[in-house]
Amino acid sequence: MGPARLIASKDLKLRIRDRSAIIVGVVAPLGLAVIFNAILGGVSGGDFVPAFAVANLDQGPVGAAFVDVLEQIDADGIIEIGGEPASEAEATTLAEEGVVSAAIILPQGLSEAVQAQEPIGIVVIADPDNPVSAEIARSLAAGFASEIRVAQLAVVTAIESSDAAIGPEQIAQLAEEAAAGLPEAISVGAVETTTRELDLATFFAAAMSVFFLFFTVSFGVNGLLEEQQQGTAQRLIAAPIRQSSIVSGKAIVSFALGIVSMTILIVTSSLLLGADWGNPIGVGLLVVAGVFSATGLMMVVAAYAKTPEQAGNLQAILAVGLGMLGGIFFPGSLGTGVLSYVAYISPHRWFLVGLGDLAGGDDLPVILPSLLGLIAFGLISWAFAMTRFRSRGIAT
Amino acid sequence: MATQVLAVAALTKRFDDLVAVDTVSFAIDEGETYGLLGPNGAGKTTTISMIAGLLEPDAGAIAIDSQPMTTTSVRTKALIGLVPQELAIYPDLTGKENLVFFGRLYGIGGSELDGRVDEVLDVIGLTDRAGDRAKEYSGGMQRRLNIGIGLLHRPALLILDEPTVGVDPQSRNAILESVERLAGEGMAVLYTTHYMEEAERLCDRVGIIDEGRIQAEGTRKQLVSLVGGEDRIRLTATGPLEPTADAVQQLDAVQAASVNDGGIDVVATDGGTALPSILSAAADSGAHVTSVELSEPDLESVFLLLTGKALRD
Repeated sequence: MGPARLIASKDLKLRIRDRSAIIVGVVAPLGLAVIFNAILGGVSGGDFVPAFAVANLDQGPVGAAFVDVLEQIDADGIIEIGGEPASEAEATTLAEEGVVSAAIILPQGLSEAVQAQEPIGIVVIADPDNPVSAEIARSLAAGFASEIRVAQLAVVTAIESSDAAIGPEQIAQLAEEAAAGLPEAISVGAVETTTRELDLATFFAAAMSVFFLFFTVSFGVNGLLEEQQQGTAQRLIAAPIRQSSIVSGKAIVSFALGIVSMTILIVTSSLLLGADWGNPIGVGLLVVAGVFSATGLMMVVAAYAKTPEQAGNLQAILAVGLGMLGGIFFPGSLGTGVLSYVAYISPHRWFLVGLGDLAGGDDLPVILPSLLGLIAFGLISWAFAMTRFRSRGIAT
Repeated sequence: MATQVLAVAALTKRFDDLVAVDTVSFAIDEGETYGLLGPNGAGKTTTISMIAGLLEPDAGAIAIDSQPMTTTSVRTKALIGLVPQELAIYPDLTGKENLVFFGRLYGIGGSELDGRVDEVLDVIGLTDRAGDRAKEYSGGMQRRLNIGIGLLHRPALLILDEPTVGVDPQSRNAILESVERLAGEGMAVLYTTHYMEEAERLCDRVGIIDEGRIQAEGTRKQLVSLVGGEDRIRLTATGPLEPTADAVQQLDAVQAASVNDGGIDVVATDGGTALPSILSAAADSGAHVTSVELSEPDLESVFLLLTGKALRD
């Protein structure tokens, strides 16, 4: 075993023993991805289908028409009718207990009130824990009410413009014609994404993985400072090995920890969160380039820091700063402003953009810019770090 | 004729304006223990850092077994075993794992490594605790492990930098015995210390170093002869010690006098005869002498005579 691999093997043994790398590299990012996904999972995402209870107490044509509309949307897989309670109390209970996101109550006498043009309201009882779903229910009810109002206006206009007296049968016929002339009552389109954006679960799994990757790889490169602090660096430098082997050994540790951590996170987030990372070869290339880039950046800090504590603090600032700049906390694009360009000084951005490109279903070459961006970060960082190590008498 | 293992010629190292090591030269033969004796800050550690290839000298040359040593001399480094002053072990590895790791770093493997690890564990008395993590060892045991790592690859030259600092008396004795045994087996040993007794016990030759320069070098007998028939007198006293030392220094029989650790160290010709006048001068200076210790010349006397300072300074 070469000296670099020997040093790396010793360091990996120590890192596994103290468990810190496992916590930072696997447990923390996976935990945060789960939490973010749980909190923000209702905002968007391909599998989001709100469930509503519909209590039709009307028994008339208006109530029946609204139920027809909702059933049509249910059939399209956009909402789910999760119950048809027989009373307002029963509907309220379903919403309060979280069985459904909201209950829509079509009150008794709705049809008569509409025909008599008397005021009456459709009631929406919302689960406060699901504000987005409740808003959708309110919008559906408001949309239906609005179109009924249009139909009413059409009928009234027809009656008032007629010179002859109009009987109830004619009014009914006019109403039918008005309703037939209206556009489809409510239209809710399914959003089938073909854009280059990740779904929420995948985004947060990827964002947290790359965010914590920078902390994980720092365990390796900071080992050099720890060797200096505990005096063992003297022994390593006095040993019959090239000093560059010492730095290489630390880099191998960073690289190994980074790859293992990312692999575990990709597999577990796919299984537990339903994350869809995309083409495995493309993901693999992005991960390798990302780990290379993160190791280089963290090594620069280690090369300039005097103690492991100082390095840790500076690395945390850098990792959080670059992470925020790269948009790891903000799903979707960063718009078209200055920030969208500045974000590319962060390797996090290159990584997420690369994954987004894969999610767009394009062929592997589409991730080439991201790969080159990450590799460029790595190469420049490594050059700085090695220059600094040489000036410190290490890696000669 | 013994083979020369280490040759140091006009070694010099500066840190900005400070000349830490100033044209130091000495040599060590096979089986010889050479002591670098000097107070803290004398330049001992800087000297051995250059010899071990940790620091590049500004001037001078180092050869080990006739091979030049620099910071990049990989082959030459294999000839050295370094025991740093501070502990240099991995606390989360066991004693055995520490030895195995460094053994492999020196290119030893397989059954040879197993044999050497067992042998070193026996020498440093840690066989029974080999499977325990080093952080669970006592301070003395960690010191012994620190030494064991330096021995594992059977170096031609073993460098020990103040290996007994902060060690309990029992472990200290064990360390000194180990060094004696290794020298007896033919290993060249470079031993730095500021403990005169250790230098006298272990070293075949001693280089007295102060302010980066070798002030004198030789066997104990040769060095003590520099003092001539001078005796060392230790006055434990209270009162104005500095003026008292100056007054004592003025006496004809006194070669050197300096204040150390609440007392005054004096080097004087025929100490027994000179003692009354020394005590009289002390009393005249206002010092209250509580005890007097008269001893034959030793390395401490030599150091005091050569530098005007005590080793404890």
